Amino acid sequence: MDAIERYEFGDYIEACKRRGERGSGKRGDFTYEELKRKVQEFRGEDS
Amino acid sequence: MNSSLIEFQKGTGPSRDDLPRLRGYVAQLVGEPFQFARVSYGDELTLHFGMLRPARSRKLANLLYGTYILRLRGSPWVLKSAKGPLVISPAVSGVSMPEGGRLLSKEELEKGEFIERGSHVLSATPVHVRPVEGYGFHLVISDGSAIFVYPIIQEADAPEDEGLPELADWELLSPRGLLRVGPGLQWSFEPDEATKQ
Repeated sequence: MDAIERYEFGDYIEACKRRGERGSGKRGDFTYEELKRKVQEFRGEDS
Repeated sequence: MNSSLIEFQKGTGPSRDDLPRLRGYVAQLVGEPFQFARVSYGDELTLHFGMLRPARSRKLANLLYGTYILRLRGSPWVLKSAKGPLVISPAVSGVSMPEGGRLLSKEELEKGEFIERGSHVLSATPVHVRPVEGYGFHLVISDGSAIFVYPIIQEADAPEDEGLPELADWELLSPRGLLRVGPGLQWSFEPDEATKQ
């Protein structure tokens, strides 16, 4: 993941949280495993 | 008097305790117009400068990015708006709410336009903050606003964080590459692939 993708992924995850999605970590944060799945979703590799 | 020429084709780092060279890398932000502020995941404030470009990802079809992005990671910061208010990040410790103060939501922070859009960076100065042995960052904008970013006070990792890569105190992503500063008195610059020699 290069810097631009990393920055955009951070905004994607933030948008997910603002839509009400919650991870199972502290304060609803996504765990490392959940984030790995989110990367696939972000890249469109989950379908 | 000799002028200075700074080349960005080669990476550097991690450099340690080299403030003069760090000043050179940060100087690329001077003169760039402020565009907007956005809060990213982890409540990290990002400030966007320069020209606007669309997101590279199709998942972010309507999102714009500045060609220069200052990302403050988890660092404490204080923004002095030329409009009057002072905005203090939650990470600044020891500040209790004064009279006239109130909590600001992420959305309010983004929409507040505490820095006038289109105003230009007058100075961008890394600062050696001796009590925590890290690099802070002072930014002055032509509308009269200013922001100071503090380096993070380093603490032992929580068990769940052990083995994870170290977080920078702040980063500057530009068309020339990525500057990562901290933790501590270390920084590195990774040129953009298109800029590399």
